[in-house]
Amino acid sequence: MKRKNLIITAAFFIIFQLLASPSYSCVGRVLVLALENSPDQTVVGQLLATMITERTGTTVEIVTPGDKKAIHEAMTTGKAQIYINYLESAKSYIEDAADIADPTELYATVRQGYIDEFDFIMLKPFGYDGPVANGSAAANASLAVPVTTKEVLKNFPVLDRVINKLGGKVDHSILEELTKMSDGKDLKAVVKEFLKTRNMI
Amino acid sequence: MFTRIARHFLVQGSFLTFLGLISFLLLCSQVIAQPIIVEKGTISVDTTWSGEVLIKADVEVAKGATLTVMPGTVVKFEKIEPFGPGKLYEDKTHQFPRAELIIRGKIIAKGTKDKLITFTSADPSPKPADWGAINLLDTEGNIIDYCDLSYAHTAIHAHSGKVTVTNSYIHDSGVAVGQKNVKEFPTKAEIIVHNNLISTNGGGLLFGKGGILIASNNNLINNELFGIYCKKGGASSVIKFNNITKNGKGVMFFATEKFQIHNNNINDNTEYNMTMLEGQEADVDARNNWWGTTDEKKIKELIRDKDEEAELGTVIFTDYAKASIAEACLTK
Repeated sequence: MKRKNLIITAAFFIIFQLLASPSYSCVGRVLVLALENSPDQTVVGQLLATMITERTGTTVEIVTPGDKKAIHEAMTTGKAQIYINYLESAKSYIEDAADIADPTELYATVRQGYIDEFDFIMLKPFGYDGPVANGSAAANASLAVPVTTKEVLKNFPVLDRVINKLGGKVDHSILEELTKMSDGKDLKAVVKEFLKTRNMI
Repeated sequence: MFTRIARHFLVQGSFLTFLGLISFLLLCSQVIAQPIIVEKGTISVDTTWSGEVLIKADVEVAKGATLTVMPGTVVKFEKIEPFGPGKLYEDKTHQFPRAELIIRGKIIAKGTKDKLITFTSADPSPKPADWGAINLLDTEGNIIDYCDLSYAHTAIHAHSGKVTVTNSYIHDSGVAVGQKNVKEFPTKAEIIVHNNLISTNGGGLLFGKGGILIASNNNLINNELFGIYCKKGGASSVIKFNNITKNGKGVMFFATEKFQIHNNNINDNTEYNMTMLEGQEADVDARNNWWGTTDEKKIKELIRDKDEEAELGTVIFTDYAKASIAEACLTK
């Protein structure tokens, strides 16, 4: 079992490297999606990128700047325009959220805090708790949320509509299904087929 | 002639003189074959390029100056650091990351059928976006005719520029031809694209923000993402007699209004022949096109519109052609 998980994880990292260099990262306008190097973000990041490209014609370049701090910095300096955060991680940046346990209240408070502090906009949560490692949610897992900035939404007016279409649609079973389907296959193609069969692209 | 001269020298016994002459001619030919090196800077007077030209960084043709490129000229762009010291401007809105030919004056690049003008990458292993673009900023009267353009970010881009692109082959670039209007420039973007082969790019023709595209008799084939991408504005555009085939998507629409597209062959595109993107709420009049079949159900299968997503407009494809549009081909 452990060996299988190791193979799956290794496969993710190989796929990730392939995704980092799309064949045409220079077509039209480009959005940079910053991801953590984790299995769930690899899959969901590709879902997000495909959805944006297919529904807006905007090229999405996937990068992995490093840890959460590096991603936050990439966002504040404009080097990245979208990333995926987890509510528990996000709340460490917002003082008012420290003692909130209820996920709905926490989401609302952190969301407002991100607007006030950074001009970041949290969109609808995907529907699964992350981070996910070796097929299971980590002990401190919490809602995974796409995040962008006010400025990006001003420049890409339909982006929030598109991203929000994934809101609540990616639960743990979908994540698992996509992970299995992409084992040994091209993740990009698997994700595209998945979205197409659901009439989302 | 050459034999006669050689015999003259040999007969006269001046063999050493003959060898000297040959060496001199060889030396001359080497000097002549040296490319014109163009460093970062501005061309302020009328200039003509011929032979081989190597562009080392951003080069701008100033307002009032005309750059004429002669038939058979090969213009190569060095692959410079994106937005690095080779760039003339820090502004990223109207500029491309790598070296570009910025036209504020005019460019006349008229090749011939037998002597195309080449614009390409100088990199030994060239890739799309090795160089930026022929970037037309607030300019008119530009001509690109019988040219071969490759490995650009956007081979020809008009930011409020007017240009005629004819009889050319545009390939292996991010986008072949793009345009948009820029508020601060008085010239309105207008591109005439006629009789070109536009193939194996990321995307073919991309236009919007009020720009006008007149596209006729082009073969838009095998472009990975799209053949034509029509964005906001552009209702006065004319797109006719084009073959739009084997691209990822044939024609895409975003936020256009009153858009019409007739008399094209739009068939065999991989994902959709025609698709409406998020924000395309108005209908598109796409009558009188050939979709590769007369089976309405099959035509509809490769069109994404209101039927797939309620917020989108409708692609009106009635009165579809019953056979391939014969006029839709390269004219020569």
